[in-house]
Amino acid sequence: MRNIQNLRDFKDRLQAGFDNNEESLEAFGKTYSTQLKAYLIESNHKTIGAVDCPCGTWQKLDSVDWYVNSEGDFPNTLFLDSTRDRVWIIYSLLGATESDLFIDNWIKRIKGLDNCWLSRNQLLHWEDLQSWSQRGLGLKFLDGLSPEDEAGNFSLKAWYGANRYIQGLDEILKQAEEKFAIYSVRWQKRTNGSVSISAEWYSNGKATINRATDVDEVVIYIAEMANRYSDALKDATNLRDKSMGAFELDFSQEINLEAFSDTVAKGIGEMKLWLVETEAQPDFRRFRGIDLHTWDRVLLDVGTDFAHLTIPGVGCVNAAPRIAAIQGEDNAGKTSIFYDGVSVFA
Amino acid sequence: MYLPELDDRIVLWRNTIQLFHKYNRPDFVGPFKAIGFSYVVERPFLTKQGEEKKPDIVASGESGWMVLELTTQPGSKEPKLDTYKAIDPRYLSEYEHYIHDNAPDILSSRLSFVDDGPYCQLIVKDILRVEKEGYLNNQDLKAALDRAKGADLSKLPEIPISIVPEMKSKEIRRGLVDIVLQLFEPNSDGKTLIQLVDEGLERLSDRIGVTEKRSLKDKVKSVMEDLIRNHLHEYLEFKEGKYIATERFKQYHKTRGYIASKLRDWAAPTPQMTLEDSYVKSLEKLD
Repeated sequence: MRNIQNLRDFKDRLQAGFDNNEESLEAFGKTYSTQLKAYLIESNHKTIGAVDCPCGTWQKLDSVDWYVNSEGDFPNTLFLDSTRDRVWIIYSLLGATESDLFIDNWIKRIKGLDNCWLSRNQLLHWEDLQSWSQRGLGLKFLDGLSPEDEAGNFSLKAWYGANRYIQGLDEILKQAEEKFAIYSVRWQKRTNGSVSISAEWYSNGKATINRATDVDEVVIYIAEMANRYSDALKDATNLRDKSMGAFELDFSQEINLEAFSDTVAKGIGEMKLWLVETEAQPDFRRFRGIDLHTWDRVLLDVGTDFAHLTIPGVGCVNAAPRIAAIQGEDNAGKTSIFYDGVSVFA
Repeated sequence: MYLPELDDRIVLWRNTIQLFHKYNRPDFVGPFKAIGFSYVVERPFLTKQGEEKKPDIVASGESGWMVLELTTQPGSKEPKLDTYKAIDPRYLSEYEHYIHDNAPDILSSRLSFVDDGPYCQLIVKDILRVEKEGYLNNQDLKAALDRAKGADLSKLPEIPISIVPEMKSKEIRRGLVDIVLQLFEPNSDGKTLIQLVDEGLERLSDRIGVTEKRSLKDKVKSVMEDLIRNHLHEYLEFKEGKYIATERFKQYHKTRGYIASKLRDWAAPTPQMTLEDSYVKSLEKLD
């Protein structure tokens, strides 16, 4: 296999994978090539100089701010688009297990990197766009603050189609979608009567391209979400700097404040917050502390169904969608983010 | 259950600043937000005679503009408020605010009533009270404050400014909690005293005079000495001019829990006055 030198080579490689899968789908009813994955990465690094590669080493492509992994066990499988200031995209041709592991460890290891935590509105962005239809939904509620044997776990992944055969299932799915955190949505685009893109977006900013016919269309599709997230970060940073209000997270499930306080005091749990309680009322707590993802300071005031997040100094505003997404899936169901009563990260 | 003290300056600032904001939960529309006022904090203005004034808050909207003085001092602020009448409104344009050609409405904001003369006064402790609103010229402002009377302010969010020079020891301790936790970041170089002060002051850092900052440095130094000596001596030290975690600290949930619990005891108000409280109190008298 020849080395990938530039953006054209990269796209040719992706296109070949899409074509293979379309051919095998037609011939055998299933795909054999590894499905393309894309990860949106929130970065506080100006260049990749201080950021090593999740697998091997980064080698520059002939296109500005594009890189490919070389050396290591899996060369030519990861492609980095760092053309945006705050949101990078990694395209991966690795299998899902290795790919997720490499990217997760890489984000955990390097300070200043984070996932892009997609809000409900971002995940549902294509809802009203022509040619697009929703083909499936993943919902999650882990009830993470409750003791394991009492936790009201809820997890569901529904691919549309079967719901036509069970009366009332549509309504149940709709209710569940309103109540619980969305962790994935599958979208399909049809062009001239046939599927041109089928992809699944996850709340941690990952996308899996299940089917595609045109590589440029796919790259633009991924870049669109990166641009939207990048704009949201810019807007939120402006709000942090120019005003002294707080980001408001509204939850559909009630929070057990006692359990929340115990969890964050130890810096454990998926939220990765290490906080000290500084004020307590029966239905309200104030906390000050650290977001362990970035070690930036956060002030969090928590009621039974809301939280106010204040980010002092130049702390990373990505804490707002991160806490919303993780807390949503972990404890508090559907979550919405507002600033001054207006929806943000939407 | 523990709550902040009644004369808590950060409560005064927090509850006043949040009058410019809106929240869905709990349902709250700040009266200044309701009439579209935007604000600046501790920014310089000039009078027509060229004298510099730096009110705590200046705000402006389509219907008018105002100057807001925040204080917990028991004495009347009337003489200081009088001086704000002369501020030249043309400088509002430097802050991208609506410009007006009249004198500002002048208000004081407090946690309990003190007679500040012929000026409207906001009491922003737990429930919003408005006194002497008859002195306001801007009728939209007066109506918005009328509507907001009785609003519950007790659960409004914290603001990013954590410490200010006038604070007492307990308030400073609470304001430093998150900054102290940052010292436990893996491979942290620690922080100098002035870094602690600047990070606590946040956007006020370059707006505070040298004398006030020196006084705040002394108070922060004192509470940090108390923290190291009496609460976290195993895990925190002052070494080569920096506050830094000791090698004994490990990123382990039990250790984190222990440190959080110690910091909570250190920061939460207690009825007893410590030796260090007495020392800071003596500094406050010198201010």
